[in-house]
Order: sequence, then C-alpha cells, then structure tokens
Amino acid sequence: MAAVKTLSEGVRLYAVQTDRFKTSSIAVTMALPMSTNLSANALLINVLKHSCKKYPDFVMLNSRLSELYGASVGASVIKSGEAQLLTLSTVCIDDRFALGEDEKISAECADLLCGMLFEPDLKNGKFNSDIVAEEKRLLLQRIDEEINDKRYYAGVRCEQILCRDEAYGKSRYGERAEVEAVTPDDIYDAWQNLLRSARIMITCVSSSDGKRVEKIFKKGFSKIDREPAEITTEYRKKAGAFRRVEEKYPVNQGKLVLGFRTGMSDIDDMHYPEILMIDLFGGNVYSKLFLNVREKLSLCYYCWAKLHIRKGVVFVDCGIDTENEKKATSEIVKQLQAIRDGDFTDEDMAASLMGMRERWLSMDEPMKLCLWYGAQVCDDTLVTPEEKVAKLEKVTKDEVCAAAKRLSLEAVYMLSAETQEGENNED
Amino acid sequence: MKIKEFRNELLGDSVFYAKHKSGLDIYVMPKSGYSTTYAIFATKYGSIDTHVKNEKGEFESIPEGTAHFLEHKLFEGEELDAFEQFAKTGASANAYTSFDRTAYLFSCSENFEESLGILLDFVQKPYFTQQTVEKEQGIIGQEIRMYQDLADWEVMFNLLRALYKEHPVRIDIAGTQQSIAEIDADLLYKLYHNFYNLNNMVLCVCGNADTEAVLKIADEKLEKANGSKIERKFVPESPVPEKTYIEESLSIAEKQFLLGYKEDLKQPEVTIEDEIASEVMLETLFGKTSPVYNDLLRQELIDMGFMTEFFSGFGYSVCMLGGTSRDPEETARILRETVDRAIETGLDPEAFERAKRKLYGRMIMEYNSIEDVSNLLMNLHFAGYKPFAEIEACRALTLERANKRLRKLKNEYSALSVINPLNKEQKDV
Repeated sequence: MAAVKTLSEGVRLYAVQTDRFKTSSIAVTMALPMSTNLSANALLINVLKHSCKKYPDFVMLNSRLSELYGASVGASVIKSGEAQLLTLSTVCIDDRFALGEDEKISAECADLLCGMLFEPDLKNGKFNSDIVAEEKRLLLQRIDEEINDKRYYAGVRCEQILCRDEAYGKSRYGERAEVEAVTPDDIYDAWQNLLRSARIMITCVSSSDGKRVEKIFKKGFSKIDREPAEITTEYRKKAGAFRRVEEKYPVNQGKLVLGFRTGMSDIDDMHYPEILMIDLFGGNVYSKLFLNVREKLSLCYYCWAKLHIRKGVVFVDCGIDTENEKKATSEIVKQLQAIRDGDFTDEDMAASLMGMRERWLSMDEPMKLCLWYGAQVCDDTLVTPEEKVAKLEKVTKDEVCAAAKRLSLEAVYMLSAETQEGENNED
Repeated sequence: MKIKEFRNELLGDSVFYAKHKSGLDIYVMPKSGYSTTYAIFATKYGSIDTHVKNEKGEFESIPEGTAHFLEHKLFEGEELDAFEQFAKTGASANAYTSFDRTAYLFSCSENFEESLGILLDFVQKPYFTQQTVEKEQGIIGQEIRMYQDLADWEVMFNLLRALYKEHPVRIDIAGTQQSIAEIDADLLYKLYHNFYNLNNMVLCVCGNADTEAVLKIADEKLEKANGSKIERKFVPESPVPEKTYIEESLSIAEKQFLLGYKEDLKQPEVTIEDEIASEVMLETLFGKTSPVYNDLLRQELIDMGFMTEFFSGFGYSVCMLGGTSRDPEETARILRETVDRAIETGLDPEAFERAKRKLYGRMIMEYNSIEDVSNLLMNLHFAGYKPFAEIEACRALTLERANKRLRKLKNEYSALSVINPLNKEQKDV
C-alpha cells in the first residue's frame, strides 16, 4: 500500500506512483455533513470548476485544457451515508506522451486543480454573480431532468420515501427551492466552510511521486484554520411503518423499487456478511434475482439489489409491465426468503466470492483507485481491496442467512405506466 | 503460425497479430503491470444485416432484431449456460449488439485461460429450443420498452429514421415486439450458421495476457471454419432525408434535440482519416471553446450536455449535434447558420490545432483502459485498419482535410429530431 500522508488536520493524501497508465490523475474528495447547506455546496463545486483566478474566463480555461492535450477537470456531488461528498478532479496525459519538448502537463494540471480550490475567481472578495447564475440554471436543469431517466428517478423516489424523516432522504443537491435561493455570498460562505471543515482525501495516480501535489496542497491548507466536522450517519435497525407510493407516468415500462432496512446498527455491524448476502441475492448474473425474476419468469430485463452499506439500506429495482407488480414483488420476497432459509449451495457462495473479488481487485483504472480511496474519506483507517477480500472470504453460510433474516421491507415505490385510455396530453 | 508485431514507439506499446489456422484473426495487446485482462470475440453481424443469402443465392429478408436476439440466446447452453460457466472462473462476462457487429466479452483478474476457453466455446456452441426462445421474447420485450422510454435513445433513432429512407440503420437494434415474435429456434440456427463463421470474426485481448497463451487456447478450441467472409451489399441512397423534421413526446422535463447532417456517400465506408477529420472539425466548430457554444449557453439555449458526434458505418454517415434546449428549432437555426458561415470562411486555424491536440490526448488516454483498447482493435480490424491507425491519422491530419469535411455538411441533407415533454398525471401520496 502506498503511503498515506496527512497534509493538515483531516486532510490526507494517497499517492500511487506507477508508470503503467498513460495519464496523471488527481481527485480531491471532500466530505461534509448533510446538515450543511447542500445546495450552496453543490453550486460551489460547479462554480469552482467553471473558472479560477488564473483563468477567470470559461473559454480561456477550456482553451488551455485543449492545449494540454485534452486535459479535463471534473466536479461531482454524491451522497455517501449521511455525508455529501464533493469531488474536484483532473485527468491529463502523462508528460512522456507530449508531442513537444519539455512540456509539463501534469504539473500544470495539478497547479490548476489546486488553484481552483484555493484561488477562485473573486472580485472584491465576492464570487462572480453571472457565473453563479449560470451554474444555478444548469444545476436546476439537472435537478429537473432527473425525471428523464425513470430508473434513476424511481430509485431516488424510493430513497426519499424510505428515509422520509432522515437526512439521507434529502437530495444530494438539496431541494430545488434551496438551490434557487443561493446567493454569491452563500457560495463564499460555503467555500470557507468547505476549506475549514470538510474531511478531505486527495488521491493521486501518476508516474511521478506525488511530491508536487503534496507541496502545493500542503501550502494551500497551511493558511487555513482547520476544524474538521463530525460526520455521523443514523442507522435504523428495524423497518418503520410500511409505505407504498405509486405514481403514474405516460411511459412504456413501469419501474418497481423496494426499499429495505438491513438491520445494521452501524457500518461495522455484520459488514461483510451483508455484502456477500446482497450479492447472492441480487448483485450479479449468478444471483437469485437475475436467475429467477428475469431468467425463469421473464418478468424483466434487469433486476438488481443494491446495498448502501454506509446507511444500512438496500434497494431492489426492476423494470416491468405495470400489471406485474405483485408477481415481481412476491418473487423478490420469495428469493430473499430462500437466502434466509439457506437455500443456496457452496458453489453459489464461491461464485459470489469470486465475483466480489473480481469487482474489488480489478484496479487497472486510475479513476477506480481514486474512487476506492475517495469513498473512505470519512474513515479513520483506509482499507485496501486485498484486505477487504480477505475479510469477505471469512464469511460463513450461517452469517449470510443471519444477515438475510435481518432484512426488512419498509418502502415500495411503483412508477406505473398510464393505461392507453388514461393517457392525455393536456398541459 | 506467424505472429506479427505492430509497435507504436510513442505509446511504447505493441500489438501482436496472428491469423489463426481456423480462419480467425487474433490481436493481443499485453499491458505490463496490469492484473486484469479483457477479451472480446465478435462477429461482423449487426442490426443492419437484415438479409441473408438462401441456398439459391438470393437475398431473403429476416426479422428486425435477430442479431440481438441471437446474442441473448447464445448464452444458453445444453448443460450449463455461459454465465454459470463464468461463475466458476470469476470472470465478469457480457455481450452487446450494435448496428454492424455482435460482441461477446469478459474481463478477469484470475483464471484467464479457462475463461477464454469458455468464451470461445459458448459462442461456437449454439443451443436453442422453442421454449427458451419464447422465454427470451419476454425479457427482450422489456429491454425494448426500457429503451422506448429513454429520450436520448429515441431522439437518435428518430433522427436516423428521418434521414434514411432505406438503409437499415433506421431500425431499432433490438427490433420491435412484433418482429421478435416472428423469431423461432430454426431461424436462429440458420442465421447462426450463416453469420458466425470464424472467417467473419475477430478475437481481441488486452491486459495481463501473453500472445502464446491466447494462441494455445485458440488451438484447443477452434477448428478450421467452413464458409467465407460475409460481404455486405452497398446500396447508395439519396443524401436527401426522408423527412427534415421529426418529433415525439415522452415523459421528460425539457425538450431534447438532435440535428443530423447526412453524408452523400460514394463509397460504403468513410476512411479513418476522414472520420478523424470530421471529429476534429466538429470540435473546432462546436466545442466548449467555440463562439457558438458560448453564445448558445449565454442565450440559455443549451446546457453543458450539448454534444457532437460523428456517426458512421457501412453505408451510413451522419454528423450529429444535440442536447437539451428550450427552443430546438431556434438552436438548430443558429447551428446551421454557423455551418454555412464556416464553409465560407474556413475553420479557424488556431481552434483547429487546439481541437486536434485535444483529440490526440483523448486517444492516448483510451490506452489506459483494457476494455477501450480491445474494442478499438476490433473496430479497426472490422474497418480494415491496422492497430494504432487512429493515432497516425490524427497526427497527420491537416486543416485542409478538416475544411474539406466541413464542406460536406449541407443543409438540404440535414434533419432535426425533437423530443417534447409529455406531462404526467401524478397521484401523490
């Protein structure tokens, strides 16, 4: 394992030096509690990516990125447990592939990323209101367009319904009205708060040793009075009152999502049995859900179970004909019962273990490495893929059954297709 | 067997090629330091292949979506299906069908040789029964419905249907509920034996694998193929679109559009030099640094999702531009005007150089991914090019060639596809 360095309180750097890739990548993952201003944070990360002090103009910035052989900068916002993770990243080709002499592409990209975070484009200590307005329009549009992908949208709805009175039920971007209300001053406050209180993981995968990245980020954080925030996530062991919500849309295919509580009381509670159990249940093409709901009953094209282990919830989703909701639900529940009853073979366990090994050990992409460690931004000790695999291999059949027995269904969301007669185009 | 090495000094990589005695073309690109390997085994048979030669040598039409149906069904085996076999090696397997090919693939970090054996085996051992065919009709039916609700998918197929009157690029890859209902086990066997012949196929491997090991498995699993390469028939079609405007309503938040320029093809396929010239031309004119992109953004007519694509294959070629817009027709008008003006003035040389550098860098980046490399080797092979041809073509690209490609864009050959939002009737709880 490469060395992990602490650059400042709550700021760690994980640098992998390797020349097996053609690129140099850096990702800065910053975690904040869901209780902060989610909308201001989400806008902030996009404003930081838009331009910076050195390149105050979007066209200038992107022209430079093109000249740097199509280097890119990215910004993303996700939820991980009850933390909002904001990531700024950059990818460029390694210097050895430059066509000119002595071009320092990766150093320039590292400086650029660092500049975006510490030296944004401020005028009289304020963020540019035109840029904030533009990014606001784009973010609002992104929120509105979540409905376009019905599978994604149905997943979000089920999450909202299951966690209706928990922080996890909120959107990663905050509510639409909250985004609309954000001012340039709020962005400034969010920026200050981010630098001061986010828990931060910088991952760097490059042919160089990461010294430059260490130096520039260390320098950036040296001016900041760090007070890393406490980030905790509420786990509810038992399902609350059952809820089913149905919404009708003019679509061809219905989307069914089932939301379960795992029964975990914290992230360490039967962590590995949960992972293996959900994989056996619906994680892959050898799993119960694929083999039965899809292959045997031909009810759907996809049917997967997804574990959000940092919250202790599970979602099963499938795309079906609306009238098959009951059939699909009862088959999903039946397959869960099969796992509870131990109705699976040693070969099934072995297949699942191998499938998970494959998923975790395939680290031949720089961004996969960055994501692996970025996801652990809030954890005290970092776990390598090999360590995780070793722990998973110790899970027994009894533990899998026990984990399955704790699973309880709390929410069902059905996005159903309007019938032909009910279809209308009026506004 | 002769093994040929293709070396690219710039990348510092080599691709090894062998024509296997069975007739199969094999490419291997070892990646030092990698722990995973990706393999793809593909046949030149896709959704545009809608005809098959019968015993009398006449062309007979086949139902739409059969290549895709066959892809699903090949996973079935007499004893164990392919997924069950891969579950024993830990490999992660999949397959896909596109306009002009069907590909079967896996990636793994352990048991590579065993998994490669499974891949070569199951694709060569068709097993269909009427019962399993019927079962698949339900699954694929749901796959078709899923795509019918996706606006990005629909906006593109509608555009192709507007641009092309005859060419089968206008049909859906998975076919329709009706067309797949016509498929039975006998038909699948017939098509299998026609299109799945090693002379019509390619195997590409990239990652932690060496050429000798791949060839050893090939020797064990492949027998000399009967039959020859399938030739596609090129039927030139008028460049004038069937329709210049097409629209559909779906349950989405904001309008989406795709503007397409159809090319007047004299040859069935666009050369790789021209393909790259078109990509750079589109980036020069419409990329994030272009004046029109920024004007449209300021006027709130597009968002960051605005994209361009050069889309081509056997008998079809389209430059596509699109995204989300509150006013697709006004946006399309501005885009068309930009094309007309650029044809008069030529591309800005500095912007062209920047776009070319960007594309070059993105090509280098692709070589990180064993999946991308394997697919790239397959694409180059099917198009008749050697490994690394795309990098060479990019480096040699001139402004003159890009301008020549620009002048191919003609408004009378263009069409606009729009998806309008359809309001939902919500029953909130």
